[in-house]
This record gives sequence, structure tokens and C-alpha cells, in this order.
Amino acid sequence: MNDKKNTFKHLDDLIDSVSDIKSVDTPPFFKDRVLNELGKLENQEQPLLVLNWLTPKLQIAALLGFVFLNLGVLYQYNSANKDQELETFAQTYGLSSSQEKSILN
Amino acid sequence: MQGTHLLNFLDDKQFLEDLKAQKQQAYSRLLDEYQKLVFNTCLSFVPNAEDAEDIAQEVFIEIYRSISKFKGNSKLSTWIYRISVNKSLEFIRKKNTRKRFGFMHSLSGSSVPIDKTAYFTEFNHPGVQLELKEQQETLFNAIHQLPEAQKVVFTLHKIDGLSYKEVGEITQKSISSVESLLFRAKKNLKQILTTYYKKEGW
Repeated sequence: MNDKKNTFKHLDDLIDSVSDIKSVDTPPFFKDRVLNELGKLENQEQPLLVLNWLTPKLQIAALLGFVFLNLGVLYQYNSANKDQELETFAQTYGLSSSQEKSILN
Repeated sequence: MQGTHLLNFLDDKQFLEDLKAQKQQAYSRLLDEYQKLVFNTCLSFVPNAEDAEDIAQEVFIEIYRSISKFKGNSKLSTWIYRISVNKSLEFIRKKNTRKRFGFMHSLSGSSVPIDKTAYFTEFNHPGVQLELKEQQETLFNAIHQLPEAQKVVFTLHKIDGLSYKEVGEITQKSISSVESLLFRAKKNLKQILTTYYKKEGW
């Protein structure tokens, strides 16, 4: 019974001992290294600023615009050619009225 | 007194604007003010000085990249803590995946050497006294086995010494959730440590 009590006490002490870990200073020249890395990053990222205005929202809007424009043109193209296609079909299978009236028949 | 508050507020606002404008002077000040906090937070999650230094560097790079997204809804320190925690957890996840990958390779018969230790890094915490190193290594190993949410709350409260309120702000949880997670973390730690010491013939 006493052993169990001691074990629990030891575990509690062990868990609480983690709070005794001391705060440490950063390694020497850490700040210089980070500033150097940030400087490199600044040079790398500059060309991207040209297209900064092209936000994801604008990109989606442009894509949707492109899709709708294409769908519209496709629809118009289809309906404009419908009569012509019908005529060609009729001529191919000899159903055209203009063919019946031909002097060759 | 009110005047001092106003000056501080204006100074903070200007500081944030300078950070967003990516001015080197502002980042120099940011590093002066936060490098110790970031390094120690990373060290609490990844107790290896070299690894923690790499993660801390990544934290500042992330701050530089995403400062424009910081809306000021929370304190700057809270936001920096959050990035430090996320980067540390990301590092641990990557290391664990690499360990699992190594293990799978060894099963498939390839000659990749596997690291058989359960812990993801070599324990080398400069803030731990030498005579307590072995004991603390065991404890950190046990903390590593906790579920992620419990691990975060326990580490921030017990090792970094943050209050429940601060931990709640960083983890975006209520104080009661933090308390509950901490309670479960301690309970699980006791179980893990008991099993470990039983195996050791204690």
C-alpha cells in the first residue's frame, strides 16, 4: 500500500519536474541567420509582385467568364448551322424537295 | 496613464504596418522581442537544440510570408505562439512518417538502416540539468506518446508556463476544454510512465 503511494508520489513529482526546465537563450548569430534568410526571400519574391493583382477571386472570375463565353459561342454556332446541317442531311439521303424538282430526274 | 496606452497602441500599429511592408528594421525588432520565446517553445516540443533552431527559423520565415493575413484579432504573441506550435508539430509528424517509412522499407527487405528508438529525435535540451537528463528524457518520451491535443496543452501549460487563458487563446479552445485536456494528459502520462517503469523492473 505504502509502495503504491510512493510510486504515485514519484510519478507526480516526475511530471511536475518538467516545469523546472530553464528557459534558454537562442544560439549565437541566430538573429543574423534569420535576417539573412528573410533577405534572400525578399529577393526571390519580388518578381511575383507583378501579378499580385491577380488574386484567386479574379482568377476564378476569369475562368468562369471564359467558360460562359465558350458555351455561348458554341450554342450560337450550333443553332446557326442547324438549317444547313438539316439540308445537307436531306440531300445525302435524297429527301430534299429541291432535289425532287431537279431537271435531271 | 491613458496617454501611455495610446502611445503603445500607436507604436504597435506602426510596428505591424512595418512588418506587413516587410521592412528589415521591423523584423530586426521582431527577432529581438520574440526569438527567445519562439526558440524555447520549439524546444519544448522538440527537445533538440539543432532541430529547434531550424524550426524557429522556419517560424520567422512563415511570419514573414503570412503577416499580411494577420488581421489583429488576437495578440501578435498569440499568433506567433500558434505558428511555433504548428511548425513544431509538423516537424514531429514528418519525423514520425520518415521512421514508419524506414520500418516499411526494412520489412520489404531493402537495406535502409532503421532507427529503432521510439523517440523522434536525439534528446538534447540545453535547459535540462545534466543529472536530470535521463529522467527528463523518459518524461519527454511519454509526452510524445500523448494524443496531439493533450500534448499541446500539457507542453504549453507545464513546460512553457502559460496560463489556461493563454493556452486557450493559442489553441482556440475554451478554458474548460483546456482543463479537461490537461487532466486527461496527466492521467495518460501516469499510465504510460507506470507501464514503462514496470517494464524496467522498478
